[in-house]
Amino acid sequence: MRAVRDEAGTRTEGRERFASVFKERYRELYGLGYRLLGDHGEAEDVVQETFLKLDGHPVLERPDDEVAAWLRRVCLNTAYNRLRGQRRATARLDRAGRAERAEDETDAGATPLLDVLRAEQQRAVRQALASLPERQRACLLLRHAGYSYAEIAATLDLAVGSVGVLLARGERAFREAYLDSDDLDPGAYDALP
Amino acid sequence: MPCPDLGALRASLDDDAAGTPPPLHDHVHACASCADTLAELQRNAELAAPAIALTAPDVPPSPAAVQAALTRFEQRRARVAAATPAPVATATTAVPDPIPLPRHRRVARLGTRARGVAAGLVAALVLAGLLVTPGGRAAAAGFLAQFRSQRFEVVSVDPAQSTQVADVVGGLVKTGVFTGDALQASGLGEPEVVAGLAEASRIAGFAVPAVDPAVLPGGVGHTPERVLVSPAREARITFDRDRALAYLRTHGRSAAQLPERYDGTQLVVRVPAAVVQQFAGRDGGPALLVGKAGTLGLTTEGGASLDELREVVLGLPGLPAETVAQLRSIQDWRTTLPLPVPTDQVRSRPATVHGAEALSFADQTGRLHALLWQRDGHIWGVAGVLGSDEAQDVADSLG
Repeated sequence: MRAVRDEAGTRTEGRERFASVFKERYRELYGLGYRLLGDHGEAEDVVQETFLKLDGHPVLERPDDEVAAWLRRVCLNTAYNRLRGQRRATARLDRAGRAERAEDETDAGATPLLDVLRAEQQRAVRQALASLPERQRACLLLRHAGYSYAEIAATLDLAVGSVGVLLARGERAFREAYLDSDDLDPGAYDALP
Repeated sequence: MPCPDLGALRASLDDDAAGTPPPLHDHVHACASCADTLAELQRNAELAAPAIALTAPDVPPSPAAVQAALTRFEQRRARVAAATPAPVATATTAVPDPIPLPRHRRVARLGTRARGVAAGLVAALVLAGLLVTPGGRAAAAGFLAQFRSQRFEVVSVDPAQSTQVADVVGGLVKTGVFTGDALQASGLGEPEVVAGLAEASRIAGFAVPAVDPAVLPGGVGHTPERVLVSPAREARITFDRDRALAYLRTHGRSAAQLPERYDGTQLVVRVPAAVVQQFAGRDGGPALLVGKAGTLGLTTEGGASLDELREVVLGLPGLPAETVAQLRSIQDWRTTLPLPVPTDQVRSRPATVHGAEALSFADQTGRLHALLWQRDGHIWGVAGVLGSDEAQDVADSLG
């Protein structure tokens, strides 16, 4: 009987732990998914899939930072899988850009022109990012989303000392791809709110 | 100090970077090459930072949105847990017993292999081969997706292809990609014995004609020994998108994608009522079966259309390419019922019954024959231990 109670207790604790991690990490994972995919619905889908993989996974018993790194890694991989599934990543980017433009045009507030420009810039950024190798892309996204070198290293399963190299190469590749964009005005984003 | 590597230089631009050696800045001031590299790194970082910031969501999810997402997740988890995979049931047929041969012209009894063939023929006759259980065979019905059967088309499968298809179907059921209600499963393919044709007609909802004794082969009883009825049923098989994706990914389709809306789509199989008249041979065993059934119907309820679900199933890894090609080549798949015919056991050829397209089947020994045709919205069949001409005579006599 005691064993049954213990098992039930463990299960309840597991559920509570899971819910706590979900609430704590949802926002950042959603941000990562959105940064890669540019679509709110798909970002949520990716995060839901990520947590589905966490459910019952032994990593949940590990310390918070390890769980967080695991979640980020799975989230990125899930998002990459989605991107890879597209016949052409650029088609997705075009759609995302169009969708955002349409959204912005529909929901045009006081700054419709800026919104359109912003959507164009987002499209160009995602297009440039899509041309990078996945680890470089992940490294850039994580760093510019505010993650520390240690967190990036844990997420990408790298030595901390390797993060700088990956970041340096990624930023160089990003610059080249971004400035090579056909319709880019490099300074345009400076003027945006 | 020697020139620091690229990573160390880049890290020196970030305050929180670990592993930046203290003397690095002094070195950079004294080394033109490193100073140039650092300046380039800084330009790159300054370009990337605001640009990449644009990709962030405008408004992060609110606490209420996070709570709503958790609720959605828990619902999804409950759905996954509830969809316990149904056990893979073995196909039952309308002929549980060996078919004896009429003594006056056949050898005593059929062996196991022949019984299997006979069972296969009769299964085709009453469509039990496709629809025995929602969990197993009806997943195959999904594979053989069609909307309303009006005609047949043979899909030849050799033993290897048959095994491949069975493996895929079994895998889909085992992993819970398709799940069915166990109660529905238990009732399918188990016809009940009724008192006679009148009762059978009442249960089935259509008239069942008596067979003219004059056309029955010698040695076969003039009245049916048993009349079996399977009432019309509806089987629902639920498609689980997450498990389908997991299935695809574990089978090498790492980039597989399926729209979220597909999840929970139900494949609704309308299993028609069927009546089988079983005639005994001289030793009392079944020698001839005459069947009539309604038409099979298939549709979906939920986010995926029948076409979309069909595409998912036909695109599954592991299915024999030739079988898929045969299925894809069927012009009007919504009205054509594909009949998988094991080429190593059964031969088939086109035939006609009352001017309607029919299929004639025979086993390799030539002892067993069957005819299958559709007319007036019903599927008809004759099968048993008889010659092809005898089967044709019986078929032609049925209205």
